Amino acid sequence: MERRKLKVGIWALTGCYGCQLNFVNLEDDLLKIVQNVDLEVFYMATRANNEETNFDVSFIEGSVTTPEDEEEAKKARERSKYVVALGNCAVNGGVQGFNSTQDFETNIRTVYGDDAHFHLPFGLSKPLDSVIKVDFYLYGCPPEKKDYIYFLTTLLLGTWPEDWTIPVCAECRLKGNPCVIIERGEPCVGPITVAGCEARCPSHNVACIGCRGPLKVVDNSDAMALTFKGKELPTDRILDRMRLFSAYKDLSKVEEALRNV
Amino acid sequence: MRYTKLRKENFHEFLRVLERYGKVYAPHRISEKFYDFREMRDPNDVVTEYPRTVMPPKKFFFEPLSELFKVGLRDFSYSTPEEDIQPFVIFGVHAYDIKGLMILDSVYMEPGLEEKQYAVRRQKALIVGISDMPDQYNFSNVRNADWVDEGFDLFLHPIEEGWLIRVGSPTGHKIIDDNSQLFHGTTLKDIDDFKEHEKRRQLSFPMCMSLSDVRYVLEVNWNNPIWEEEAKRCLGCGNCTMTCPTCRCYEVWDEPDVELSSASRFRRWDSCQFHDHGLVAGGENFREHKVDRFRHRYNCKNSYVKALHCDFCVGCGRCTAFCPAGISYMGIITHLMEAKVHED
Ligand code: SF4
Ligand code: SF4
Repeated sequence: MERRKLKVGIWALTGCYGCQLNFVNLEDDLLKIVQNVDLEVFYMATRANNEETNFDVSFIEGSVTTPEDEEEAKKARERSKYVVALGNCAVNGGVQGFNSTQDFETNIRTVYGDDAHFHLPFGLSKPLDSVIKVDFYLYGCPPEKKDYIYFLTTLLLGTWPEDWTIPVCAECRLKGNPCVIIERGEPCVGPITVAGCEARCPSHNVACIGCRGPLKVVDNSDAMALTFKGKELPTDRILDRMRLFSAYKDLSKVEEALRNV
Repeated sequence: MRYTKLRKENFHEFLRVLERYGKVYAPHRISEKFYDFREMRDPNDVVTEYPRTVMPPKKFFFEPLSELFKVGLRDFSYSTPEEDIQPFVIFGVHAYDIKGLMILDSVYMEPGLEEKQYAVRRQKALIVGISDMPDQYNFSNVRNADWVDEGFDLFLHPIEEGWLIRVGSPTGHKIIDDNSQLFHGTTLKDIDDFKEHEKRRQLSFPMCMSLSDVRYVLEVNWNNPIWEEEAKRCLGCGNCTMTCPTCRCYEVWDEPDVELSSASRFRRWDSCQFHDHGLVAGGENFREHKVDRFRHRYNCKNSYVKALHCDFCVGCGRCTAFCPAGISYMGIITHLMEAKVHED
């Protein structure tokens, strides 16, 4: 069966290029995927980028931090049938969005002091869907290799990828791990974090820090905060924990729940 | 029933003997507070006293994640994974978990509707039960699941000299007969030990009540505000159902291979506590709110197993012991039973 090749762009805003790197890490599978895909833009892998074409799918990595980021995102959007927020920075603003509750100037002065001079016109790091419409989200820091493959192969077949809507706990139990919240009272955010990593950190006996971001379909962060409070975690640490990979999450429910205990 | 005795000094040898009947899985301590069934490598690592394993034995029969079938995308072929299931032994299963398996049997082995993966494994498995000493979460007595008359090949009860064994199947008889050097006749002292242990055990159950009306109590309390209040603390994490010995929900999805030559359908345990569990075509969700999902579990677990005249819940206490939010299943049920809904 002759299949039309998908025209794909892999764009990068402000991020560490790790999500693109994990695409390259597909190695042998990448060679199989390119039989069905034309990589028109892939900043990390080539200089021969063709930004002027129309794309079936644009993967966009990184947070929207500079005016150029925003322009780039809009350009990609205009030319693409589907836009995919690739990785936590694009989905949730990334760790660099962490201090989103203070203005950018204050953040800069706190870190670099009053004498520092910055000429770059950048600001707070925002998620991609704060500036353009996003059709799909690939979670993670970076997303798992199988996320890329599943996404592209389903699209190539003419169906679509199903979103992850279950928490890390599900995979943690399926793996037969003990629970670090119950056993050690650790602030594991697995219960409210998007699964798909096969509970990598808890499987190494380390609490989940939420790098795949909070579940989009349901928000149980208030209950999570109550659990942590019950383990005697101070309120500021609870809030930090929840903001780490989702700086723009509305935590008013959390704050209210904590006020009422 | 046939009884025999296994002396302490023969216990490890007995575990080794079981290996002749297949790979042995047994309770192991996997962390400070958690136990789970794991493949036995060294009989010294097997624990005989444990409150409950984190995963129920259901994982051996209804696999947490599996490929159901594959379809060729070029030749439209259809194939199911080749399975060569060898006999295996699950050692150290508590009575409530054996009852749990019998409940699963009533669903997955219903004549004419057998679930292949489950049935094949069930036929290949040898079950060696072991008596448990209940902790604060165990209410299997209230569920009539603290004792089993069937569903095992051998069942071990502790006595001073070692173990008193009940023999529950033809395979059980064969193990005893083929290895008679390991076993001894029971003495009157053994019988006293056994009775003493059972008495101590029965007195250790934290609850003593009847739950025979519970599903109706839940039904008439459908709109009780307790549900809303208690659901607030629920994380929707699904630990309660993932660890439940009788939960059976699963999710299926399809994945093409990277060359687009085939696609496989996979199955993974699902939980009614997840938001999308009630999502159906058209985007409707019949359990849209957390309280709907929270309440549902109580109703489902307390519904009636017609084939066995019992409830789906066997009282193992896992859903309470393994709830990260510390929500007590029986706590909520007793709360509902006692709280007045009518104000004078
Ligand atoms: S384990 Fe507890 S917190 Fe998690 S879904 Fe069940 S009741 Fe809710
Ligand atoms: S509902 Fe809870 S106590 Fe009952 S069988 Fe399931 S896990 Fe055990």
